[in-house]
Order: sequence, then structure tokens, then C-alpha cells
Amino acid sequence: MSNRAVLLIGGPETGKSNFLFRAWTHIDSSNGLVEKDGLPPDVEYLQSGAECQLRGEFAGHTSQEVQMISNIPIRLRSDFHKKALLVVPDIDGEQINRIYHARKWSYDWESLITESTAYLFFVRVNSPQTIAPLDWIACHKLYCGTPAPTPAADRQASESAKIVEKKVETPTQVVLVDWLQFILKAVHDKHPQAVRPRVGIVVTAWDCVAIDFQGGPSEWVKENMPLLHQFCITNEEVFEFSFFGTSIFSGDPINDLEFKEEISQKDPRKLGYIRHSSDNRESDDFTIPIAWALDW
Amino acid sequence: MSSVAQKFVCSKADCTVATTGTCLLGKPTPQECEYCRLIVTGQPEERESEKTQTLQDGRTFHTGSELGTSDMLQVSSGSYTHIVGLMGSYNAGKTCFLLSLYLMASRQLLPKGYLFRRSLTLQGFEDRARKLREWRGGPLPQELADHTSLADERRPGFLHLGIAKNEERIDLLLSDLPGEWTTSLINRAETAKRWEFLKRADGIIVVLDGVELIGNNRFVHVTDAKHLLHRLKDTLRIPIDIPFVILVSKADEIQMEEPAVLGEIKQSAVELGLAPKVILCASFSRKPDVVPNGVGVVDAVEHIITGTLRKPYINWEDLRPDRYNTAPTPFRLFKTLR
Repeated sequence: MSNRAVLLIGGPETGKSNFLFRAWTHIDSSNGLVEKDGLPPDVEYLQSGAECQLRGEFAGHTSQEVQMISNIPIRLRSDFHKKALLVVPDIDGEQINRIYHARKWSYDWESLITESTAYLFFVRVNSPQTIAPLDWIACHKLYCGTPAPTPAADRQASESAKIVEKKVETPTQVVLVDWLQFILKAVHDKHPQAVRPRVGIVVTAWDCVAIDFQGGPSEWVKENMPLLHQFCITNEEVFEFSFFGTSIFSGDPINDLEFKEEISQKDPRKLGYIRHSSDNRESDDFTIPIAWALDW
Repeated sequence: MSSVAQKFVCSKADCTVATTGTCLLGKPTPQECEYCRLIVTGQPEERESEKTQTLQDGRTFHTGSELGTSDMLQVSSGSYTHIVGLMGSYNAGKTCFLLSLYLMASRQLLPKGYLFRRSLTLQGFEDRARKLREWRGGPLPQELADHTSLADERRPGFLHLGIAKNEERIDLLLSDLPGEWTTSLINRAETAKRWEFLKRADGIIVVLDGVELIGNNRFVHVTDAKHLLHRLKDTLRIPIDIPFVILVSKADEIQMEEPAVLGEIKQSAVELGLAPKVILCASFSRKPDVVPNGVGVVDAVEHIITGTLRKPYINWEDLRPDRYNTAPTPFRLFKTLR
């Protein structure tokens, strides 16, 4: 078995699982760049998710209790000698945030980070779980909204109030940048020689992008997660980045009942698309990001 | 100490491999004997505990909040690191300056050619921006942090921002210290020791509250500022060629006009041999339509990065031309100063 692997990483409700199920449909039926190299040890999870999509529905949120692991042996369809493992860590999306805040990951995580690992990070258009970057208005309110108290009064107030720990979410772009810095640290500690991991940023629910938005996935990340986008530009010597947009059905069957009715008359396997920033062209092969990550 | 151990047992009668390690059948090692097998002795819970411990090891990363003097070393490897000393009394606008710089970086609002590159204190910036990392009640810390841990409250240290300026990579370590440290330095020379990092800094930014400089207490602030300059020169003996910025904060509230009393402070700096660069700054503008947010912030950083004087605000080259063409003081191993 090859030790090359692609790791799928995404916070809560970023579309990671739905991408996996859709890619699995291609991998299983050998009609994409990448196909299966034997059946994975646990196929039930993949099949049930794929079946959901074949009924024209999105697969549900991965339960925190049911933490499945998917290690899918894959190979390049045009060259059977090129083999790898598609790895979806056995974690729920929330754990991405927990690791970020704890500044620590387990031995299991550490073992996944090797010199041959590539990464696909997931962000979703219009996700309610995406925390927007800080803005001037918010900071202005905090720092200029009211006259600053005197040091003594301030200390007294803060001591008496004991500043209740507020649950304030960190912007998604900050979490992702620090995750990439974590990976960089781990890779370079273990492999001081030049290792330049491939990182694909996958923007899911691309059909939800505003109609008047002219750019591709890279431009979307630049506009919505500028810190992450700058990191990608200025760290090209340590990572190789690429951007993808994906849509499972080319529409939203949950909120658009007309669309739901429309796709019920169609073959769901022929819906949806992948958009690659390199040429901004669309394809119906959901294994393209995986093939790119493996440099196939 | 764990009592867990591994040993070989053999199913052949009379074999003593378990105690001697020697195979009765003369195999070179017990593993090669078909009758031999390896067993693990010790309490199951102990073995489980060891396994758990191994799993728990994993990897721990930098805290993300602020960097102590030891932590700074991980930044300084690989690229040139600019240490910037940020000084100013309580509420002068130091934190706003830091946050404004971060906000510009995080929203890609830095001037053309500049891009965010990395930061080991992202969460530190975020927490300060939301006022979640304030100096807590009780006595303030008296020393720079050596190493910060996740459980720490805000500690005197440095915030890190790595930027790219076209092809150039720049790492900034900006001091984040209580305003009271500046006040103490003015009042008591004995507190100067904790500022010794300034001797090896690449630049100093003294933040003066612009509104105070036109208020009733303006002459008190002038006196304080002049005393601070004397401390820097006479007590701390900072290099006189160090890029030195006098940052007038809250300039949006004073119509971006240099306060009249500033001339006296500038003159005092020049007389001490320093080459002050005066910059009017509005970290968070109350009138963003008139004075954009962040005016002056990058100018201050750029002045330190380039180590040269620029002309928009004041032309002091005419006064002391021999002192301004030196490169920034090189960053040396910070630990040696402690």
C-alpha cells in the first residue's frame, strides 16, 4: 500500500462529508480520474451518504457520537501504479475548532502528518457556521464607543466583574491559517528537508455564490477570507496551493422546493460540478481535487 | 515507575528462555523459535495508562496569545526579525495601534505591495480586538514574560506579525506592555531594567495621546514626554541612530493637525541626538469618511523597516545629516539580554 494520503479537513458544516460522498460515487463507479483500489474497510458510512445524494438530498451533519473513519484506497484510473489513501479523520467538524483552541493535537493526528500527505481544506459559501473576519466597526465600537475609564476604575470594575468568560468565536479564516501553520510546523519538524505539501482550498456550495460575483474560487476566498488568501499567496515556497469550487446538485434542494422537484426528474449523478481556479472551467468529475492533491 | 515488562515464554518442557533468554533448541534469538512467544506482563490498567499517555503526547503548538522572550526565538529563525518597542502611558493608544495594524493585515487593507504572511499570535490579536485579553485587576506584571502558556492571562510580551513587502519577508515583534511601565520608567530609573530589550530593538514608537496634547494638561504631557526621552537616552542608552517614531494618536479628533506643543518634544529629542519622525495616526477613526481608519499606522512600521527618514511630516535631515543613514540595529540573540 502506498503511504501517500489526502487528508480532508473542515470545520462544522463545511460540506466535507457531502464532497466525500459525491467523490465516492465517482471513485466507486470508476468514471473519474481516480477510482477505488479495492473496497474500503468500512463502506457502510460512504454508501449511506451516497444513497442520500442519489435520492436528491444532502447527507446530514455527522454526529459527534458517530465518529466514522474513512480510509479509502484509491488509484489513478489511467495508471494503476499510482496509489494512495483518501483519509477522512474520525472527527466531527467541531474538533477542528477544539484543536485550534487547545493548541494541541493527539498522536493519531500527528501520525497523519507525513511528508507524503496532501490536504483538502473545506469552506462553505453562506455557512451559518462560518465566522466572519473582524471589521473596523466592531473594533471601533469597543475602543472608541465610550470614553475610556481611568486605570483604577477600570481595574476595579474588571476585578469585581471577574470578566465572565465570553464564548466568542474566532473567525474561520484565523482558524484555518493557524491550522496551516500547525501543519507546517509539524511537517518541517519531522522533515527538515524541503517538503512542499499540496493544499487545496475547496469552496463548497458554489451555487450559493452571488449571481453577480464574477471571479472563481480563489477570488471568493480573497473577498471573504482575505487573511487565508494572503497566506496562500505569501507561502507558496512552503505549500503548493490551489482553489476549487464545488456544487453537489448545482442548486439547493433544501431551501428551493421548485429545484427539489426539478431534480427529482433527473439523474443526480449528472448534476453538480467542480470548478478549478487554475482554468476556472467546470467539470462533473468530483475526484479532480483529489487527483490534483496527489499531483496525478 | 511502571511494572510493565515483556518476556518470552516457551511451551517446550525444560526451556529456560523466560529467565535466561536462551533458546533450548539453540535458535539465535527467541523470536525465531516456533515454540516461543512474547508476553507483556504487568497490570492491564497500567498498560492502558501507558497507551493513553502515548496517545496524549501528540504535539503542542505555540499558545497563539503573545510571545515571551524565549518564545521569540522560534520567530527569529529563518528571516530577519524587527523588534519594535511600543511605549506610551495608559490609554495613549498603543493597543489600538497594534489592532489597527492587524485589522489592515487581516482584511488585506495594507498598502499596495504589502501582504500578510504569518503570525504566531493570531489569537492574541483577536482576543485583544474583542477586549478579551485585558490587563486584569491586581498588581500588574513586573517583568517581561519568558514563556507563555495557554492558561496565562495577558502578560508583558510581544505580538508577532509576518508580512511580505513585495519579495521581501519581514517579521515584526511588537512589544505589548502595560502603559504603567512607561509611566514608571519616567518616574523611577530603577524600573529601566525591564526595558533593556530596547537597546537591541530595531525601532521605537512613542505613542502620545493627540487629544491630551491639545488639552488642559498638555504641558504635563510635554514634561512627561521629555523625561521619557531622557530616560531612553541617559538611563537605557538606546542607540541614537535607532529609527524613532513619535506617534500622535487619535489624530482624527484633532483634525490631523500637529499639536502646537509637539515642537518642544521634537526639539528635546533632537537635542538628545535622536532623529524623531513625527507621524499623525488614527488607528480607529471616528470620522472614517474624512480621516481613513489606520492612517499613520503603516507609516510608522515602514519607517522602522526601512530605517530611513521620510519627509512628509518633518525634515530633520537638515539638522543632523550625519546621523540618519545607518541601517537598523541588528537583532541579536535576545536571550543574552535577560
